[in-house]
Amino acid sequence: MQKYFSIFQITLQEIFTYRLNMIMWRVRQVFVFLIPFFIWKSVLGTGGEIYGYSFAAVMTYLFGTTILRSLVMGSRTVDLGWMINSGYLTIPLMRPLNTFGLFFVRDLADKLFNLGFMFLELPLIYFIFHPPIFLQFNPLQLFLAFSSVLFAILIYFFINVIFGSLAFWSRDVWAPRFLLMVIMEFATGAMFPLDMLPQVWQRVLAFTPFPYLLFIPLKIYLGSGASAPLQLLGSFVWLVILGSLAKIIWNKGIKSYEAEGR
Amino acid sequence: MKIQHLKAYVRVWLKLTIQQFQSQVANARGAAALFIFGKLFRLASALFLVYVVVGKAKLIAGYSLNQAIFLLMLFNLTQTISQLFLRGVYLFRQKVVDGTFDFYLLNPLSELFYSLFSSTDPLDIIVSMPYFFLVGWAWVNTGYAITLPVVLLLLVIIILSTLMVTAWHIVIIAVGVRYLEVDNTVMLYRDLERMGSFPVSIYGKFGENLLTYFFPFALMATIPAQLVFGLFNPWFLLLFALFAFIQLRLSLWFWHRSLLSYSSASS
Repeated sequence: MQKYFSIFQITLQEIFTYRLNMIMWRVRQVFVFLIPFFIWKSVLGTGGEIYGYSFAAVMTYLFGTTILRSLVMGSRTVDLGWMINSGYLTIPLMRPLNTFGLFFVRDLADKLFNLGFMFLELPLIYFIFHPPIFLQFNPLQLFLAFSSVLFAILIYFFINVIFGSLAFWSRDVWAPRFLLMVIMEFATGAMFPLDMLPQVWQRVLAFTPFPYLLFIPLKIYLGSGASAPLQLLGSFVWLVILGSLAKIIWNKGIKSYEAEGR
Repeated sequence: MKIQHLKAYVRVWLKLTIQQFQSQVANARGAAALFIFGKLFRLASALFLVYVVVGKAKLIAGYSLNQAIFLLMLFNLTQTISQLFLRGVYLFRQKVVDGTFDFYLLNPLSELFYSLFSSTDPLDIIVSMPYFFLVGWAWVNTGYAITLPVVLLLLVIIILSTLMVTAWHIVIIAVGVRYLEVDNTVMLYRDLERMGSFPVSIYGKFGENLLTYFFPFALMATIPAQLVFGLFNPWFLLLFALFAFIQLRLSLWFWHRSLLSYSSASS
């Protein structure tokens, strides 16, 4: 356990080494909130509703996705493709560590870093823009929401492992990752609440893991939408599927790893 | 710069771009298809957002749905064109860190030319073709006539915004030379740039002025759209030409200052 804690510490030190990059990353997270804020303010700021959402409801949703995004989608495993292609993966493979464990601990460090800064940034956003905040006090709902976020973190981790593992067979991992990023921006509900979509699109998206990353955890926290236990079950099913897939792909890929460049 | 120098730059750029294309055809045909699909999907999702927001609200900052779509298409086109030649920025940090930048400094051609223009993606040229038709389609839907003087003025605006965008990219890689970090700076720039896909007046007076006079983002969509709708006096473009000139001079000055602090990090 001590060695994983050391990796956790080293990852945090790595993040703080490149300070300008770190500051720019945090500024970007604030803009992630600001751009949609102004868009929605321009159409709903004077009152009214769109698809059943008032300005206050949309702001609550956006505020929630900003927090969840940092927590769920903050990750170091996105480097996996580069590690494989550059041969850098050899170093963690030779260490007496569980490779998935190593990646996950690095992810946790990244999430702690994001969470820490969020405590500084969110009060700032709150005092400047006064978005309405909904505090959930129902313990059952809170437990379900917490479980859903935990599953979302693991689902995102396995998605990154799967996409990173493509580098075992291809030099070009940037294109699939770019496509994944573009699709996730839309399909996780980061751009707008997914229940604004037509029914048929919502049903199609329900068969993908993406809504389980942001949209569904937030809906469970807010206590709205379909049955929370059912959604949690869906989340768990995706976790099992993606976890197994990641394991299979990794085991196949590692056999063709040639440590090129080392 | 003498004309024979310009010829050399064009020849080298063509050579580098052809090599890039050959490398893509040889190694990453599937990746190229994914890239094009990703870009089209991103445009479609932005269009969908406009449709969701403006379609229901009827108006955004005084613009109708068709006008907002035209604005988005204009933004998409100017963004693609202005960044067409500047792909080197995304690979710049690695070149500074692994010492490749040292070779640029030793080269008889400008190190800035190699840093900015050496990784032009031919795919961007291919992808930008349908964007012209999409702008035309959105323009027709607004009900405003397509006339030669307006088209020529739009061309001038695209050139001016490209100059200003280039100036900002020079600043970004100059930061890279100084601090060996550029990735999130360039992504922050891209995040800010996205603000230009909606009418800049939605960001309040301060935001509007910032995106118009400091950054070139109003020039990428709002101003050309206003020009088409007859809401912008073309003589103001002279003012933007002055801004573009000043920004370019300042960015070059900053670049040369930054080079003085370069210490060959790796090689």
